[in-house]
Amino acid sequence: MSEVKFASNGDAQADVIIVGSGVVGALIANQMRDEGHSVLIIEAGLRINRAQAVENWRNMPLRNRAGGDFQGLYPQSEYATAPLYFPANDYVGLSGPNGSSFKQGYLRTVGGTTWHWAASCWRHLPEDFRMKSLYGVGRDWPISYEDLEPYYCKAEEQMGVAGPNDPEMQSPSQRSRPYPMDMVPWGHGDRYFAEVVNDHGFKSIPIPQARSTRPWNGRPECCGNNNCQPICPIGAMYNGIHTVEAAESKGAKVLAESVVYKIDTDSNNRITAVHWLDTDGASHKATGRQYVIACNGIETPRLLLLAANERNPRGIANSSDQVGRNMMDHSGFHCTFLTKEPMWLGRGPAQSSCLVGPRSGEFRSDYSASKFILNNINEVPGAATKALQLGLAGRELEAEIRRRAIHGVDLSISLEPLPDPNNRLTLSDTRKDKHGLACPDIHYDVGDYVRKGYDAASEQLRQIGQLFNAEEFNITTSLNANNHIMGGCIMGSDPSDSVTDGDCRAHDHDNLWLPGGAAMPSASVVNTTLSMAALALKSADAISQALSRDAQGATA
Amino acid sequence: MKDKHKTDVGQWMLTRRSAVTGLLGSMALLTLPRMGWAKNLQSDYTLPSKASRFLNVSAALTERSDLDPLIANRTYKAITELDPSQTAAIEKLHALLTDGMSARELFNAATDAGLKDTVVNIQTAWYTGTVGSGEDSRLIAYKDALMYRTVEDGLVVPTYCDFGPLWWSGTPVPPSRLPANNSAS
Repeated sequence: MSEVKFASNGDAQADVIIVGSGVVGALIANQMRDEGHSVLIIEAGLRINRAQAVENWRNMPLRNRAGGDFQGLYPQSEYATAPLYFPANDYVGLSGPNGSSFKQGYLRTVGGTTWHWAASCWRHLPEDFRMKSLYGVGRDWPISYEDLEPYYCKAEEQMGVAGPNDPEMQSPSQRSRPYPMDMVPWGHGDRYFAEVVNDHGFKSIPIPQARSTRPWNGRPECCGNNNCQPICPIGAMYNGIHTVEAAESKGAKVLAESVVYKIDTDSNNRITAVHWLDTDGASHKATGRQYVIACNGIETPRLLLLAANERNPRGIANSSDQVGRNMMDHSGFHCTFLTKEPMWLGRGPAQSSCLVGPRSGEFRSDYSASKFILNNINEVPGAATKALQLGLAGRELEAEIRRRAIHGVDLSISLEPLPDPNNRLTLSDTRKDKHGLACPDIHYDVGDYVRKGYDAASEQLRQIGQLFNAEEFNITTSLNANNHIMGGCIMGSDPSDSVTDGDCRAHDHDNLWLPGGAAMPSASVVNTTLSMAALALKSADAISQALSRDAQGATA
Repeated sequence: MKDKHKTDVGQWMLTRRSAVTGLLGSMALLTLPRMGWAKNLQSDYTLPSKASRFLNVSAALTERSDLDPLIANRTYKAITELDPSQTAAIEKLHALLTDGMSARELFNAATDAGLKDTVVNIQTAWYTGTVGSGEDSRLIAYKDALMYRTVEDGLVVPTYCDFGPLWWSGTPVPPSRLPANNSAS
């Protein structure tokens, strides 16, 4: 078992250097450590105390909570800015026709953004890997569903996913192993909604969730605190921090508040070091054999561009000029209404059922797929806000709050973007962070594929509204971000138009790995984290093989 | 409507329960009643008279006799700090209050007197636990925001675990029933 070595000046040396401590970096660190390699994780942000974050959330005004300020409760390092919206800090400069639809909420903390995810653990469909071949749009992956399937299983095991083991309730049903835990039980609202819509082809099924339905690797059973976003108060939901702490317990080292800004390459364009700045502005160097950059879909391409050097003048891993291009997210919108029958949403975790009927079909040659999540979030704040506008008082007011809370429905709809090189992240010429490093700018246009998908989904939603005899039926018209950031280091088989291969290894650098959402060439309509985790574990096996080859070469 | 929604004395005494939960949180409630100093809180704390009149008005508007005086005091301070004109408005509102008046009657009387915004601000503060709007918003109460009480027989206040693991799969109570422990009467 080799260990990380620190010099007296703070420089470090390890077998594997990982930049970023979210779910992707943590899973790789954990596996590398299990295999006996020394592992250093370098994280720009702070360590988070769960209890303090819960208290911070409770202490936020209703406006922040009801408005979804999932960023504001997490303390930020002043040297590792992440987006804030209450008020906006404009860390990411947005432009283009749908710039305002790309307001991503990601955390720069030890453990990463799964601190405030909802734990949905979907797989891509087999056809999602062959968009160009099957539908003539987007790109094909250089790997197939079958190639990734064993890693989906492994990721589900590592993250403790509870899902339906009835194939009729799976999407997709092509699985080689059952879910580690059986599905999170549905509440009344999930059951009733499915009963109403499922005869009409909408296929409401259980969401596979990284949430414990029995004690799991130190995590307690879910207690239905109904606060998955922005933080699970009891840690029953998987967070990247669980894997970070597992890796640390085995000897992996994590440096927090350490901002990587520079990457060295040798004459073969192998990575020889990464450099980070500490909170005093002092620079340190980490040298290793294999390097992983897993800072999230915006920060990874930003770092690669920031780290341009003499041999890589357009940025690290960027001979194709694709780093920062093809930015994607599941642009979304909401449909709200009041039902005649009581729904009682808000019992249990924040999301448990989803309509996947529109997830795939021949129409994808023409317009975006969609999925409709039945949000199971306590509707009381919105109900109270509305009821207070109606001129009611006393028991009448309380009855109206109750009526709206019990009968309210909020569907969260996701649309599927296509990779477009013009949707591009670049470095700002004018805005710098506190270390003086350029902030990211992003130009974004969802394109007609998504716009037509919005129209098709809206028609389906109106049908659903009729099935429920909906009152106050509304479909939002502006698209919101969903924090599923993809595409900025796109994977492909041709090094001239892609950044990584099917193992997320950079085409340009033999010992650099860029796993995560940035590598994904198609978005599907489902939350990205499980696919990111599966890609991380696929990379981990490839890194392991590379380390073995290194070792054999050294002894030969 | 009960007479204690309006008192001439104007001094609401803080109960031990509201003192302990308000100051120290519900977990402390389990242990602190055994501590000698906790008892002193009930006799040492009295609401200032203006805040007490605010509590009278609030009790009438919510038709609840169990409003927490500590929350009342903090709410009153926040409302009048954010908009000093509310000091006089709340006094006027209190002057409209008569014995036996329902929330609806007070709401209507206030509306006729040009005090509707003041009433809605007070209602909003109690039901949402937040005073003010925009970036001036101030959180006064989280779990004690009255909106959550309207569904407390079927939903937890988010972040809390009241019913144990995997509690939610049963059939919820009929929607027409107000919470069984709803103390308003």
